[in-house]
Amino acid sequence: MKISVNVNGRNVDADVEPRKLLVDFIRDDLHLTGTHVGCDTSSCGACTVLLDGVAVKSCTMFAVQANNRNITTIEGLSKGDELHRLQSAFIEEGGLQCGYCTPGMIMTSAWLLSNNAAPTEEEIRNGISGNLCRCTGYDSIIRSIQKASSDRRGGRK
Amino acid sequence: MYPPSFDYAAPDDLDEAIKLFELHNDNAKIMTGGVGLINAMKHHIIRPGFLIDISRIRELSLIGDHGGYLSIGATVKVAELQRSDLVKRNYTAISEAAGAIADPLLRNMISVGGNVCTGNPDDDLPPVFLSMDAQYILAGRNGRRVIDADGFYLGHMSTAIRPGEILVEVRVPRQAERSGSAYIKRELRQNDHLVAGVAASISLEEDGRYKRLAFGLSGSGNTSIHARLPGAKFTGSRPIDVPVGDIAKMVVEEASPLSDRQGSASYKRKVILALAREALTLALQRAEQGGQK
Repeated sequence: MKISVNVNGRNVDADVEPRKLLVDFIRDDLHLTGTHVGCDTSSCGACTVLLDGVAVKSCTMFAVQANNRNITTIEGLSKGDELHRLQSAFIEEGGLQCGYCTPGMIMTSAWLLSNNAAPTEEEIRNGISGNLCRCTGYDSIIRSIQKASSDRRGGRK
Repeated sequence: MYPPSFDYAAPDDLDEAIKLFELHNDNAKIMTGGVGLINAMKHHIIRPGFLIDISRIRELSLIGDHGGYLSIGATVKVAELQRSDLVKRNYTAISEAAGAIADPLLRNMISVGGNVCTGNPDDDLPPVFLSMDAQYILAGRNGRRVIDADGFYLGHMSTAIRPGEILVEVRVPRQAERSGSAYIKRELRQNDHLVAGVAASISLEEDGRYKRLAFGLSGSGNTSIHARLPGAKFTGSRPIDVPVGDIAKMVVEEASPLSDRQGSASYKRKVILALAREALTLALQRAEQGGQK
């Protein structure tokens, strides 16, 4: 089936089987391998991308469902070599250990901050509750998100 | 994990969806959000040959106040239902149940239709809709049919929906003055399978007596349960004369929880008792404060 999607600002026309999962379309067809596959059963959130600006789990969508819609992956967050403030914050606060969950965590955080520029710790904890980190580095992840949100409010920590 | 091959259509018109469904009814499935469906397909539990994605039909994606009732389209995402000020203010338990579903990301994907239509006893919206006397609107080739939520849930993963019918809308009667509702669910860990959930929906007479009280239960049997006994027994009583615990005990009488990984049946009965007390207390407070119209 022919689909047309906008991925990270670029229009893509493709012919996909209806059963092709969105995450596999992103990884295998578009070679954007920053989006990960973890559980493949909509539990872990490693595959999180933004669909029209809203965070979704791309292992539980078919690519055809994204027809005529906008997708943002982790590759689309930075502007060239300039990292998104969430990416910088994750580096500065050590918000990752093995890094497997990180793209999903950051995409969920980007969606969270787009709706709530200054979330409380509880709002952050609830907000990322669909993303699992098996290194269990949640505290540093939460600090990273807090840092990115305070950066937005003028560098206040 | 891949399902077997299938054909796919995403009509933007309801009549076209109904026609397609009729044409392929022997092996077609309706997809709204797709989360439950895709997981079942990936595990090869179901193998539809044709998917009809109704999420692009605009008329099914709206939440509206229609005077006498709240209208919720089948493809409304549960995240939107959770956030809606109209729903929060006047139908609090619906917002609470929507917010109790899965996790924040999946709530962006899961639709009202999927949560209502599956017949899974663990789903969060059906007990609230049961307690509020909601109606479901089903569309098929012979037009539309209205069915009470009360008669919809027949058994495990079994509902009164007929071949070729599509759930298009949920209608919830306008909650009277001095009414209140609450939905509380217990999980052992956040986003885990539920142990049980209880919805309470009440309204009071001007003098404070119970005008109506109804409960809905999730995780409490082989399908969503409407607990009616307390309403039949305590309507007309003054809340101060009836201990909340007495009403909660009657709610438990209508539950038939199963022992599973979430706990034994006897443990679940205790949980349901506690949740029924909590939900009723909260609904009563809300009704007395008049916060919910």
